[in-house]
Amino acid sequence: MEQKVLSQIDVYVDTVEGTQIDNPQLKNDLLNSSILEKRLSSNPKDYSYQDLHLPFSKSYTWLVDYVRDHFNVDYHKVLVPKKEWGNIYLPKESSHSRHQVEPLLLKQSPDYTYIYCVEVTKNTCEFVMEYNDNRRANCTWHIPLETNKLIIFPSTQRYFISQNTGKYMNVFITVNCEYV
Amino acid sequence: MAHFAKLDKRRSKVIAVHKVADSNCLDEDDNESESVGQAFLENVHGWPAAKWIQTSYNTYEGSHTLGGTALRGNYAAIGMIWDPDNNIFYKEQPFPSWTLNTTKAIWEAPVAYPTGQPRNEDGTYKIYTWNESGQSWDEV
Repeated sequence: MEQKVLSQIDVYVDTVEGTQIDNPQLKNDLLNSSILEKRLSSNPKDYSYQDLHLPFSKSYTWLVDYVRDHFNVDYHKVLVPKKEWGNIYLPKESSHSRHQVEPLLLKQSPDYTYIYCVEVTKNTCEFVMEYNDNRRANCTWHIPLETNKLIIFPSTQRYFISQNTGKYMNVFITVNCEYV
Repeated sequence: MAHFAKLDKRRSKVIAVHKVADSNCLDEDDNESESVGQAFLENVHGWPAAKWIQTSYNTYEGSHTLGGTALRGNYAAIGMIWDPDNNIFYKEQPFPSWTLNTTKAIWEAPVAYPTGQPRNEDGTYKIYTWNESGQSWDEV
């Protein structure tokens, strides 16, 4: 019996190591954006209201370099960032369930999204991806998060960051990418 | 211009190749130094100096195409393997039966590729592909 896989949901998990990304500096940049209300959207009803402006920095560039180079050598796709932002979740907070494509603008939507854990206390939250497995709809895939963890997944996939059960804030960077 | 291969976090595969101006590779005596270039790249890219290995644009299969001194077997390319024990870059093993020639930094088949450039009846060269199960070169 021969199997043909016509479609798949590819999720990549890695721990960013070796590079000199300055997580405290990235966290400070995002805290600064939070204090100054530098959000991607000023509409509190918008998904992007929780998304904080991420200023350009060497550490962010090094993160993009790390992902681009390692993903390219292993999977032969060069990820080109289109949009980036940060999120801070205080204790008891979680993210919205969302995806990153614009249904009416699929052509201009990203291919892959990645989430980098800038400062996340171990065992305090999970990346939860929602997916359908044929008629078994509404399945979820859970990946525990901690500092330096990286998750790459298709932008079409609905996901959320589960409730922060720790005592400290959890800080993330999200990047939408096209591949070439 | 000096070229440096950027190795992955496991320090086993080439993930990028960067060019560095000669002036950024000179030590205090104005001699080209790999470690100076590595330190420069670490500062620019935030990637450890030990994961930058100098490579020679003109080195191919163990020799220098312009008659100079070969460096590390081959010019590094993305996906190539870094072998610190033999100090060479080489491609991934194409077939399980092929063995690595560490002098030329190439994989060699158990049976040599047909020599003499055999031609077809129409004058074009015959092309062969490796048959792993038959351990032979088969005409395409």
